[in-house]
Amino acid sequence: MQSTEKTFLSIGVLAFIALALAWTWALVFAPTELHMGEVYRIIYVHVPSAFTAFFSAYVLLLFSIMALKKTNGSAAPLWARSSAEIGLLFTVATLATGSIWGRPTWGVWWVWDARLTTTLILALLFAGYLVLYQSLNPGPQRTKICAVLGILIAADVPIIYTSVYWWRTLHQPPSLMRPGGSTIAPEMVWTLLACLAVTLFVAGWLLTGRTRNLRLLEELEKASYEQAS
Amino acid sequence: MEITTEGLSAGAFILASYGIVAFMLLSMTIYIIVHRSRLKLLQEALNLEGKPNE
Repeated sequence: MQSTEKTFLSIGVLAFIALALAWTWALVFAPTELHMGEVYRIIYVHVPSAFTAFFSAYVLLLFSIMALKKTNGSAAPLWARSSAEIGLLFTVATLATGSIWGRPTWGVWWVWDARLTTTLILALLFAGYLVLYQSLNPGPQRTKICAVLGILIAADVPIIYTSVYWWRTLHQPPSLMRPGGSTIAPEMVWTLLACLAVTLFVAGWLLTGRTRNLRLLEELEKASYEQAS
Repeated sequence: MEITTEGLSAGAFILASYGIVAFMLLSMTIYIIVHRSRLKLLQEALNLEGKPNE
């Protein structure tokens, strides 16, 4: 096995060990919430998943702009595609954990609330991006069309964030990133930030892994076409 | 420590949440590793190992 492969796998193992430690801290050592009780601990998996999903949309935006500027021979379209995959993964995780949290706190699994609906739209946009990418032939046209869609997807993130202010929603307004400071106890904030940092680390590793595979796949496809012709 | 119905119910919701995310992350990881090894085998079959842009 090449040393780069070993290094990549070692970083992945490190990322998952860090995630296991952060989750153990969240489940065992973080204090219990006064009103919701133990079930509030879902926050330590729900909020980092949501933040990572939104962050992925901005990574998609960045690589979409780069892909538009340089269409030939750039790895930006592959990075953009990988970030859409990671974004979809974490948006689905956000919706699933949010739905599970909604049952004991709101009494329902799902409501057509503005925050939930706009997050579902984000998941559908990521899925649509991947379907479009896969259905178009490789080349500058696919790069341009997907880059424009990637930029549009990122526009949904501020709408999700402000949806709780724009509409009357069941979903609570932000507790951490809000004007006037956090309303959460410091012990909970540090646990949440640790879970967030580790989730971003895992997401970064997954993103790199997918992009490496896509690059190699592209090389192999190109080489097989050349051998065949 | 007393085990209550509320406590068990909260535990089930927490386990489901963490379990779903762990399952998704591990599935993606396994997919990346298996896909990589398959691509490497294909690369060897096409004799592309060590060529530029690898």
